[in-house]
Amino acid sequence: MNTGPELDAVPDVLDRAAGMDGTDARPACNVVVADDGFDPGAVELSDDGYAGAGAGTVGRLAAAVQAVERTDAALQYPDPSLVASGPWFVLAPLSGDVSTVHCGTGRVTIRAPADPDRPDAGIDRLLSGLLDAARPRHPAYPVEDDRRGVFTTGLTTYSLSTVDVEGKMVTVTFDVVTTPATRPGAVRTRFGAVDGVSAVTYEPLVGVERADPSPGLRDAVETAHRTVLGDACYEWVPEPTVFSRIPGPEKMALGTGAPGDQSFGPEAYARCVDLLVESIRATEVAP
Amino acid sequence: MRTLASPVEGSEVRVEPTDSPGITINGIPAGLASVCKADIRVDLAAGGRRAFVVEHVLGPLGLHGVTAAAVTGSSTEWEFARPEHRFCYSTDLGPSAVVGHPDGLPNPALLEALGDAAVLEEGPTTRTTVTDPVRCATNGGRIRLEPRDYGAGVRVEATFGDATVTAEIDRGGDTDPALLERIAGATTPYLSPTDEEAATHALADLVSDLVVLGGFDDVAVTVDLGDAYHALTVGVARKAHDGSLVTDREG
Repeated sequence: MNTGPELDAVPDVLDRAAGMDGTDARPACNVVVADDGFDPGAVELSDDGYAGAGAGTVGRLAAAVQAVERTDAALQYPDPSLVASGPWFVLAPLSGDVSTVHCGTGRVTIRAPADPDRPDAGIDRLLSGLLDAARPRHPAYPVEDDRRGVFTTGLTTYSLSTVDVEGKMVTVTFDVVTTPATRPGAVRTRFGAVDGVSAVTYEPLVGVERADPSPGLRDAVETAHRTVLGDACYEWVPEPTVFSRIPGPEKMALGTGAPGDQSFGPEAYARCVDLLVESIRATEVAP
Repeated sequence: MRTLASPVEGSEVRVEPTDSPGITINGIPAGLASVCKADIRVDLAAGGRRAFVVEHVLGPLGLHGVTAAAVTGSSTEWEFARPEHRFCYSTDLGPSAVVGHPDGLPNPALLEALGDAAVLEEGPTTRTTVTDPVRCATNGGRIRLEPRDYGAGVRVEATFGDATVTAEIDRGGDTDPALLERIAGATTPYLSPTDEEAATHALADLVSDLVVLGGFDDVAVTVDLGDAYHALTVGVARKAHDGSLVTDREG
């Protein structure tokens, strides 16, 4: 039987979150939840917590509401005013880690002549070659089985996006997650070597964001994590979020839950509240 | 005190002799007081600096009986597949803060270089052991330290999964070369293909955590390694010191 904190119903979370942006006061800091366009209607509250696609986002939003009610902070929801002053805390699925780096995105477009005699077979062969080229590789680490992203979070990764056949050309696009080590030339070479490919173009979309917060903010967040979890580890967020759009260096991301989680229980909620409350309070007393 | 006659280099690190006892890594003293993380790896921190995966350096130094050295990270290239490099990039540290081997090995190049190096020995031969058995259990593992006679060295019986390995570690640097060769080729448990290889790798980790960080010269170690076993090995060393169960003896 669940004995954790009682969670609010999803509509109540959204209602409460919408009135906490601190327009009537001068908050010490701002909180925003990385929400990746989730559908609140897909999330339900059960005895085990929030469940469904977007459960983690709702859970972190609920945690933000609770934390902001207990501190002198503003919750920027649903339309964050990214120019608001003060340090920013971005809640993201970080499994209790801290983040100052969000990966970027790009798109790679590959063109190849279609085989007019055997179009299906030609496309199958082309796609097979491209998907093989897109697989993560590393000489020492088991990156192909790395479901938790222990290693692949630091690699340039590719996911098939579109396949179009128009006239005598096949066009294939891959979405790319980029790191500080991503080089357009290396991306082009990776796919250009596939048999049948005639042209490869790479287009960067969102750059890697690396914040450089003040020592005071960094210390506050690290201390909060050591207090609540016993350790303060840094990890990257493997996609751009609202974090990347907040101007200035005074921002850090934190939070519980993992990317894509279909559930977010009372324990993850309680830890997320504690991490955020402790971080905000430590920031308020930092010199 | 045992130090090197001249500097040596291994993967990711350069090791220089020192005039005073103790090992430092990137200026951080290698002792229990500096340990800021001990679970899947061991990190040291002091004075705003941090060194990552130190067991891959301290293990080889301990296996060759080196007790005085200044270790400096030498890596200049980012390898972002490594979580520790992502940590460093996030906090404005350079890649040289990570001194662990990139393939999860106990630095075979350093082990070989230390084996070939001349070692200078001087000063009193104080050796440390426990006064009574010390036990610790965490993360599904358990460990026991027991006293040994002066000069007996470190005896280890380590079990990982279905494999058990035993070893005698000589603090004077005279450990069996065949054992050192097996350890040099054994990857960290997270990457090991077999329990046997994981247990063999763990021997270097045990030397790092108990001999170098914990300071034990003569002790019998029986350990059933669980997950994230540095919590166990550093934990039992702390328990012995915090409980005043450690004694120094002169020869």
